[in-house]
Amino acid sequence: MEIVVKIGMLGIVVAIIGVQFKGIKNEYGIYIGIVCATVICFYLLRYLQSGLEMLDFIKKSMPDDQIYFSLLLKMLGITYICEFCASICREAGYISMADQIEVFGKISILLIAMPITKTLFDMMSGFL
Amino acid sequence: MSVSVIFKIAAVGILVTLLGQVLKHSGREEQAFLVSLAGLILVLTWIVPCIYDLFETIQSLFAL
Repeated sequence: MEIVVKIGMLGIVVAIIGVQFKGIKNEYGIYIGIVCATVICFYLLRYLQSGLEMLDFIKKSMPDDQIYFSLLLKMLGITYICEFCASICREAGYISMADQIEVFGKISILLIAMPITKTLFDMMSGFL
Repeated sequence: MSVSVIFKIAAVGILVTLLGQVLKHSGREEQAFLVSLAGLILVLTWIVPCIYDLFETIQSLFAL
C-alpha cells in the first residue's frame, strides 16, 4: 500500500517545483511534468508486472484461446501508450494533437479486435 | 535514476533563467537565447532516453 503513498508524495512535490517555473519559463514546467509522468509510469509498470504473472496462470488454464488473451494485452498496451502521449500533448497545450493521438489509438484497437469479431460471427452462424 | 532527473531539470531551469536574466540586462539578447537553447538541448538529452526506456518496457511487458 505504501507505493501509492510514495506516488502521491512524488506527484505533489514535483507539482510544487513545476509551479515555480510556470511564471518565468513555462517550458521547464512542462519538462518536469513529462519526466514525472514517465517516472510514475515506471512505478506503475513494475507494479503491474506482478499482476501480469498471475494473468499468465489464467492464460495457461485455457490453452486454445491464447491468441485472444495476447490481443487483450496488446490493446491494454496501446491504450496506455496513447493515453500517456495524449495527456502530455494536452498538458503542453496542443489539444488537437492529443485528440489525433487518441483517435489513432481507438482505430488501432478496432483493427486489432477485427479477428475477434470475425470468430464471433463464425460461431454465431454455426449456431443458426 | 529517473527521480533525480526531475531535480536536475529543475536545477538547469533555474540556472538558465538566471543566466538569461543576467545576459538580458547586460544587453546581450542573443547570448540569452543561446543559453536557453543550450538548456533545452541538455534537458532533451535526459528526457528522450527516459521516455525511450519507458516505451521499451511497455513493449516488452504487453508483447506489442
